[in-house]
Amino acid sequence: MSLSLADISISYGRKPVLDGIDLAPVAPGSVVGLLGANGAGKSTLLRALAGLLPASGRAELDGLDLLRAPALHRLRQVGYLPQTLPQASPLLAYEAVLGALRATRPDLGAAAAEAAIETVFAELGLHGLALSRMGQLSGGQRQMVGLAQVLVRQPRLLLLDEPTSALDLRWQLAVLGNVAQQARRQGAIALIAIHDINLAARFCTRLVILGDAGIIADGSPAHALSPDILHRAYGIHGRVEACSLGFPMVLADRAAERRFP
Amino acid sequence: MTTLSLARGYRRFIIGRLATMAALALALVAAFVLDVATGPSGLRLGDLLQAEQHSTLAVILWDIRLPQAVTAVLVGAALALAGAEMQTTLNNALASPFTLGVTNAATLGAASAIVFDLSVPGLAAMHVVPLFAFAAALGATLLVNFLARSQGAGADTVVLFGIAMVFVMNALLWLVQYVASADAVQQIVFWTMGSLTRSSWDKAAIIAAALALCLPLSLRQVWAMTTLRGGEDHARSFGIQVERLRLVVLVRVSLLAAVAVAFVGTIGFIGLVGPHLARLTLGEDHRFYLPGAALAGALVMSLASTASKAIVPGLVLPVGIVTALVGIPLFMALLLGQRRRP
Repeated sequence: MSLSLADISISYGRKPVLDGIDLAPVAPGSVVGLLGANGAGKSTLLRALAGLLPASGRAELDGLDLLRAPALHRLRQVGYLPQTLPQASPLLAYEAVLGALRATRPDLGAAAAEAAIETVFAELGLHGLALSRMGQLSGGQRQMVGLAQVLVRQPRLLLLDEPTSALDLRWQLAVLGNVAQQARRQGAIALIAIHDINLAARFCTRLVILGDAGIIADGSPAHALSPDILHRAYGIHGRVEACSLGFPMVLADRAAERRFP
Repeated sequence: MTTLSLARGYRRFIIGRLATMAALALALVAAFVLDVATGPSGLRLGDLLQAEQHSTLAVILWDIRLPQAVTAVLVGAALALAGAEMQTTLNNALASPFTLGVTNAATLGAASAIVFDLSVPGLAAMHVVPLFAFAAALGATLLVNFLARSQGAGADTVVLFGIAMVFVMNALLWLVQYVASADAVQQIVFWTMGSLTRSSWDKAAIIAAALALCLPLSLRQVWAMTTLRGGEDHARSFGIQVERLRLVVLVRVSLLAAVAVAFVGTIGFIGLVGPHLARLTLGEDHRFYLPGAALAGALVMSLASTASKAIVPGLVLPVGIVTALVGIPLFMALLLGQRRRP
């Protein structure tokens, strides 16, 4: 199984956001970090691959054309976590996950559904929250439930938009570690839009960096990150150094110029 | 926790909810009996039940009290179900058939049918008023939805256009009243207060048919609506076509609100209080929330019907006045209670 993108273009009305994006095949088990400045098109690309935005070009997941496949076929293969947190509501966290599973997999038997929910809550360390109302949970806890809603379906392609934005350090490590483990174990692919470059460098097998002119870097964290790329992507002067564990670490020194695309 | 312990824990919640629904149903039966036992004549239920067929007492029981009590239950269930569905699809806990002008449009349609003596060939006069109420409610709903879609179709946009529709429909209703005869105006004014005194078995059967049509369709979409409570973005990510779901729900709400308004006039707060009671006691898993809201609405309406006959001995107050007077403090208490919850 692999994911490849060819000539993907997406516009909001007449304003093009992404133009002619190509992505060399992504191997199963990969965790791809999608980096770039605000407005670079990270979320837009994920939404298009999830079938929520019209796009031209070709996005193939193991022969399935994601941009044109019927919704039900795509839902079987693709799990998308939006950037917004699940709402605070009187729903139990367990019900939120059960509802997501029922909405996308109505064919699943009750026992199989219960087992899948049990597993995902255990793996994410959410057992203690499962029978709490969503309205009683913190933003970060609701974000975790949102992730559980995606992971419980065991999709082949995970599209995660800022999955750690509301999480503290411990849960950031737990979530990305869990996603990476699930990708490896199931041969799935995770495409993660993320702002925290150092977190991405630690857990992603490949980084794709979006700039004004489309993809400006694509490779392993050690290869994709450089001062020049940081300048082109974010407009900053920065350094890339190796941390004591051997992962590349970005140190942002100062903004090169004021700009907002 | 051990394997599948969450499922066991969750089953306890389910059992608790089923017990709550059973308690609501029992309370409804008790309220219904109390409603039938209460009347301006002061006649006791025992006497009415022992009355001979075709006697005055039998007429009071079978042609007045029972149809009124049944209509109260059906209208309460219809309005609360409509309110619950609207609150979910518009993501607004204050939404009800009043919010989008659905009730106001139904009132305008029904008033127009009365004032202008409208008729439909081949249709009995009794069915003409609800037909026009439904047509107006549906027309207003579709117009609101069409305008909102042209602006992006977010739930907030639908609510904003709906509020505008309330004012337009009220202005048109005043216009109809302005050109109507004095008798017709009096009839409309009394009717907009909401009253169960014009109930009959035929009318109750039509409301029951609307409920029987809508409730199973609502129950078919319980998972989609449950998922929608997580937010539109998340619902869309699970393949739920939010705009389509909203349109289908609004058409159902139009039907439910229109038959209720057409036969008993404007009844406020049931569409708000019913869903809130259900939410507080049953949560928002729509497998329980939707039927629970219908049960709670029927219960409150049945109690309001009894109160409308008991507040002033010998006189039946318009039930719409009672639901408003009782509904406002109850609603405030619910809201304040909800704020105090963790």
